[in-house]
Amino acid sequence: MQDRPTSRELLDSVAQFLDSELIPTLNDPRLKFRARVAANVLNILAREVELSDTQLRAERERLAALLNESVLTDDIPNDVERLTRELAQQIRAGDADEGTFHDAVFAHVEQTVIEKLQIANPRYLKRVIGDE
Amino acid sequence: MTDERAQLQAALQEKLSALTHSDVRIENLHKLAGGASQETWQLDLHVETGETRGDYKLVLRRQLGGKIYPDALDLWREFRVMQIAYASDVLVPYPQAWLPNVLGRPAALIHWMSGETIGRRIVREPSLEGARKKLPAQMGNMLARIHAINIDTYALRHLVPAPPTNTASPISPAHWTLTALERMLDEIGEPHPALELGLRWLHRHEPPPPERLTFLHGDYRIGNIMVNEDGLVSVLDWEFAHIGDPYEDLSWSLVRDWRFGNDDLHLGGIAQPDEFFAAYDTATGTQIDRAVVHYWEIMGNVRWAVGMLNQAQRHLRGLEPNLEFASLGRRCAEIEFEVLHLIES
Repeated sequence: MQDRPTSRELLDSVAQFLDSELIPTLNDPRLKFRARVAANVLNILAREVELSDTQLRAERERLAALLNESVLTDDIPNDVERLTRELAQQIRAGDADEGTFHDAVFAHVEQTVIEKLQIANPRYLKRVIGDE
Repeated sequence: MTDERAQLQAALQEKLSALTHSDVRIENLHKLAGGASQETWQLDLHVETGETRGDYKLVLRRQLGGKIYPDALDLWREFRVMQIAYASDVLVPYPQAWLPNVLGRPAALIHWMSGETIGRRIVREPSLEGARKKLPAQMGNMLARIHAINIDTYALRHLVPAPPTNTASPISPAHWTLTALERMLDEIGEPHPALELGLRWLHRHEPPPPERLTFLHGDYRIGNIMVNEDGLVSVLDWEFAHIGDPYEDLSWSLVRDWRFGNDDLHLGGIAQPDEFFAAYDTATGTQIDRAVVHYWEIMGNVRWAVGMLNQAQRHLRGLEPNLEFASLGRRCAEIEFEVLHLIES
């Protein structure tokens, strides 16, 4: 195992360095903008480190139920990708256009997008879910 | 002066002198933006004698690589589109000169204009409060002018992408766009069930095709419109011009991602779309159907999501290393959420 700081702690540390030490010294507005993007990417990765495992586990379970899939391996991310491709193909083919399957697919896909946003931009999620 | 700047200045000096048949003086040449595929510079030009004598403040755009996006116009076609727009009384920066070869690359010289283009500022700056009140009607009027440009007069089918007509049954712009988006999504190679759901909805709810195919700006929105205190100054960024359904342009300006944080104001974060539509209706003698607007707003979101994924791919495939492009790949989820929300409502 790795010593502390953990991945999360290191990512937070670099983001903090950018925000409080480096970015304030930058004068070129374009460079400043890109440095902020960099800091934001680090925050995304920090959230991913925290949430990804749990999310992928749940996502795989939903997909397996949705697609009636029993073949699952040790490699959860791989399974999720494989099953997501399968799902995308089925949607494209028109298999999820109507009925209970459509509703189940929609619910799963919506949940998955919400999970993506929890990592990529939780503030956006708060803003748009607040609207409804 | 950097080497690159000195070289460019020398080359421009030579080309512009030849073009104007006059002595010329170039000053304040400096780079505004640069990437792997294109560069933008600003310069002051003095032409000593002849028909074009005078002083010019110009933007120089250079095309370095090939086209950035498969569905975008190259620099020459964009320049030509701007000329046509200018001739049609559309407010567009005057396309001053085309230089086929400056240091081995084509370049366009366009009049520099003064105004605000940054979406966030247009939406928020107190000094632009008056402008924001005038903009919706101005935007509607200007779009009507763009849509009035006659496709046949300017042989626009040979200049910009258009739905094919050489088939037994004509393809509607909606169908043409959906097919292109599916192809792009397949090219990207990653699975996006949310976008697939959007595409299916669009297939199954296709509205009737437009009465006539229309010349479209293709990226008409706050962010591509230059604004000052009097409102609309100029329409910019013509590289996505194409032929299609007028609703595509009307709805593009409503896409949530271009409300710059003012999500409640559906027209680019500055207003509700009512005045925009009303002005367009009055100018064109039509009556906008809100259901069709809704359709093309969903299409617009799917198209923008695919565009984001394309930009991320450009970074990932090493064509244009760019951190902003890379991070767009993660932002796609925001648009996916919007697509799901729109097809559900």
